Amino acid sequence: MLKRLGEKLLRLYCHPDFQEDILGDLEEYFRVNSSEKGEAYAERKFLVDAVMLFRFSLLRENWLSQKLIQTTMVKNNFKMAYRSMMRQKFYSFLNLTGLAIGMAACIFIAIFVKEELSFDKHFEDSDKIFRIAGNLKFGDNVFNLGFVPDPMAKTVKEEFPEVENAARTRGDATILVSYNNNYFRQSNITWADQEFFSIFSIPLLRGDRNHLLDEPNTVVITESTAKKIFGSEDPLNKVIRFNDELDIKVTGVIQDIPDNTHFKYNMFVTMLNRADARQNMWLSNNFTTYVKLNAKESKATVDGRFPDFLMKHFAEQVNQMMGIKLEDAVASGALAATYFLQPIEDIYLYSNLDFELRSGGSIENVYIFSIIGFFILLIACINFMNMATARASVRAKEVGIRKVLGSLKSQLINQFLMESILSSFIAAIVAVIMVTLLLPSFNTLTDKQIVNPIFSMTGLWPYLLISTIIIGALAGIYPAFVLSSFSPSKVLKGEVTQGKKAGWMRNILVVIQFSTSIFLIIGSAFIYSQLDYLQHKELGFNKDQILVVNETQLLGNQLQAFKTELERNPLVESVSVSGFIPATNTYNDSPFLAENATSADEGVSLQIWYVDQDYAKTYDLKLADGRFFSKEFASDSTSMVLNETAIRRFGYTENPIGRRVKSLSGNNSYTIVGVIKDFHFRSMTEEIQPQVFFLGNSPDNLSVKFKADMTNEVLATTKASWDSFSGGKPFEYDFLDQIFADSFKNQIRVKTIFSVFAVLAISIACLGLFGLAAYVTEQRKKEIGIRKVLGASMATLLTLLFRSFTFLILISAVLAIPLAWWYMDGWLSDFPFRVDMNPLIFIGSALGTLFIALLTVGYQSMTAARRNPIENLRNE
Amino acid sequence: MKKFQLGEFEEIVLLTVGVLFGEAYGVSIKEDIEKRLNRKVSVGALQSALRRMEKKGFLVSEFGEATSERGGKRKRYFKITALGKKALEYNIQTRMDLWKQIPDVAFEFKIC
Repeated sequence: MLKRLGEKLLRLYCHPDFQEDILGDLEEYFRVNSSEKGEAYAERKFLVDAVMLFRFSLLRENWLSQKLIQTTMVKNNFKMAYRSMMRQKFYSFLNLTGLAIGMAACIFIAIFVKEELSFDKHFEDSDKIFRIAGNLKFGDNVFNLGFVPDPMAKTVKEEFPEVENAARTRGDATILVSYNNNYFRQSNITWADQEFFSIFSIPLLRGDRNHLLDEPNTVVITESTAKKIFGSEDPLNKVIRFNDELDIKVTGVIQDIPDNTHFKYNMFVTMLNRADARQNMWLSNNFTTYVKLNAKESKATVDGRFPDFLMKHFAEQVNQMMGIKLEDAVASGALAATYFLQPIEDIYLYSNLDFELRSGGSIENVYIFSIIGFFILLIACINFMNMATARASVRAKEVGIRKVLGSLKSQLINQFLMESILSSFIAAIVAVIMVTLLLPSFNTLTDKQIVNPIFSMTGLWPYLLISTIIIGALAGIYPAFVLSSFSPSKVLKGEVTQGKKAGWMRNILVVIQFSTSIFLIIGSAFIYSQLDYLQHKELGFNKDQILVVNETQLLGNQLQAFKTELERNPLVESVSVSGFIPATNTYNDSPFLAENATSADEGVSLQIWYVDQDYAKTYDLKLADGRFFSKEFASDSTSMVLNETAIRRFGYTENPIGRRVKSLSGNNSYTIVGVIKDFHFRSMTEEIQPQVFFLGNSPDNLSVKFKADMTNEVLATTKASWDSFSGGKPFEYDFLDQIFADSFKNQIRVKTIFSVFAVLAISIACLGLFGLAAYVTEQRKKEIGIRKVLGASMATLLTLLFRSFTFLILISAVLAIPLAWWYMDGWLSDFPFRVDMNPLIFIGSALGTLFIALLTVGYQSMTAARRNPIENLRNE
Repeated sequence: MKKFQLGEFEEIVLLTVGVLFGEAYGVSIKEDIEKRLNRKVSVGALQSALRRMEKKGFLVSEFGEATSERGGKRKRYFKITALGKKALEYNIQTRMDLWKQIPDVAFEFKIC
């Protein structure tokens, strides 16, 4: 497409003698480029070269002067376009603003969609790389995991001929890293196999790709991390210290991982440092495993090999650990495991497994935003058409004169088309300026880092260029035909009346505009109310006035002393040591059995939290029954506190206290001492799962509940006592309400995007309506004059003018409401806790739109109705 | 002498046409300059330089064979003319003269 455009362009201006060999050269470059850098690049390059070949010495002889003669008419057209724009500055302004805003919105959506679709495609052979995922069913517990057992990678590589390479990663940790006694709180640390860097072609800046992680205590870091820790020093072979206990050597520096990747790691520690990576456990799924196949078509073959593979490798351990035969368990439906491959290119947009590495992408969003973008542009184009026909009466005399002087219909069509293409170019330029100015806010809103999306080599400019021409032509074609078909004798006599047909067309256009606007308004209203509901729902725990100190494990055996000192502070109400913090999405689950359960498949998967005796007090957790852990009971090491959901799942609803729960192997058994009321310990967008508290040592965090309004004092005193115990290690903290607010980031983003587009849609539509109202009142000017002379009141006239618009908007509402109902119902069903489908929101949105629309029409109608009838009836 | 005037880029193109004797057409000239001089050459600049010099009479050109990777379009091979050779000689001569005229003192770089 671009190539053909380039060729056309060159043939247009280039000297005919030179065309053949230059085009031949360009063709050669095209072949080379498309094999080296891909077809898309080559097409762009072709067009760029064709444009850049516009040089004086290569032009047709006398091309410029000849063109000038031919362009006299074109120049006249431009002049007319300019004059008609200037004559009605206000309308032109409305027109261009609407189109420019519409285009800018569309460009943003295009940038967003392009970015979303580009995920993970930057790796070499990205279509041959897959992640192994599994659907596991275990009694009533269902897991969809992107994690598989530790021996999986090794075994599939050995047994499946299609698998060329396999590598694992595990974890996404935050660890205190130090170098030369400078401490850094480093996040996004993972553990990876040496093969990881053979599968993923992440550019290596320092180090040997074949020996990055093949020895214990080695780490590969990203460029920006290297800069942060080492400054200008060469990081290679330097030793950094993890958590003040483990020395690790830097064996490689890679380029920062591009933002459009489904994982985001800054450090890759060798998997050899993890004992759990070689324990050959088939029954626990903890390792993200990537495989590279010999061809992307082999996916089906590999998927087909998994069932036999499962029987071969899992049976023995299932028998050992759970005392059942795998065949029987699978046959009875108690146990099911299906492993399959996911193309990595699809992970971000399509994969929706539990505990996904990076959430946020969804193909539904890509579709819905593309559709919204299309409709916003459509609304803007419709404005353009409606305004052009609305101003027809102004242009009618011009058309008449031109026709009388011998202008052909085709010349008039050309003229009007050119006018609209010109306007569309002006709008495009304004839109590009808007996009450039708003790009930083867009990046903040969408959490992306996009620079120069339009004018880079891979930017959107060719599409923008082509769409601008198409938009101009599409928006202009209808008015061009309408205007050019005026009969000169009629218009010169002053009879500009439009047939019923044109009015019908306009009505449809207006209905499309307003249905879209109403849909978007309902959508934002629902998203808004759902979020509001989630943010203010009763959590079951107290999130305010809690300070969470991080990395407290660094204090070692001083931690208890630190806690005691904090407790002595009168501003502090309670202190608890536990690495398990509500709303932080900690995962740590394992199945347990009720005391009378006989088979492993009756297991209930519990979220296990290790806490101390002060946990319930610090977080204000309410007890439904029994007691929380206490220092007075020495036996508490074998006690457990369950939440209500867990009690229900075990079937212990009557008198749960004192009953027992055993581990899957049956070796350990615990007594229930308390039942805690269900609280939202994880994201509000998830169901509350069965949960168990054990008394245990989990020294990663310390939570301080303090008295209200003493935030700064508490922070200062806590830091002071930290410094006295920690010996210079950095004081890292969060406030729980902040953590909680951050957990809504994605939803807030969708909400903002939706409301922005809703506001844009309704404003562009109203700009159009304003123009249309001008048209209609202009048309009915004489009618209004006569009615007024005959004694019609202001109110009667306004009703008359409002009636048709009200009707159109009601039709739009009837169309939009069922669609919005269907869409919002689907959207809400993703939330276990959600607002009802409140009909008031639908009615309110429709009425609101009607109100805004009538306000827009009102100005025109009021002026028309108040005008002296003489002015309306006089015809000069 | 105004008639032998050559720009820096023109001179390089002219020399390269000479180097690639018999094989000098758009793509090969561009590749050769890019490889030897390690600089990017735009198609537009190259083509306009070639046609300019052909007009001045430093180069002549003729069509060659058509190949399929060129979409059936013929190549245009360039050759240096006698006038082109003179222009090159004149250019190189004037530069050498200038070079020789530089006093030795001008090249005594010392760290003061």
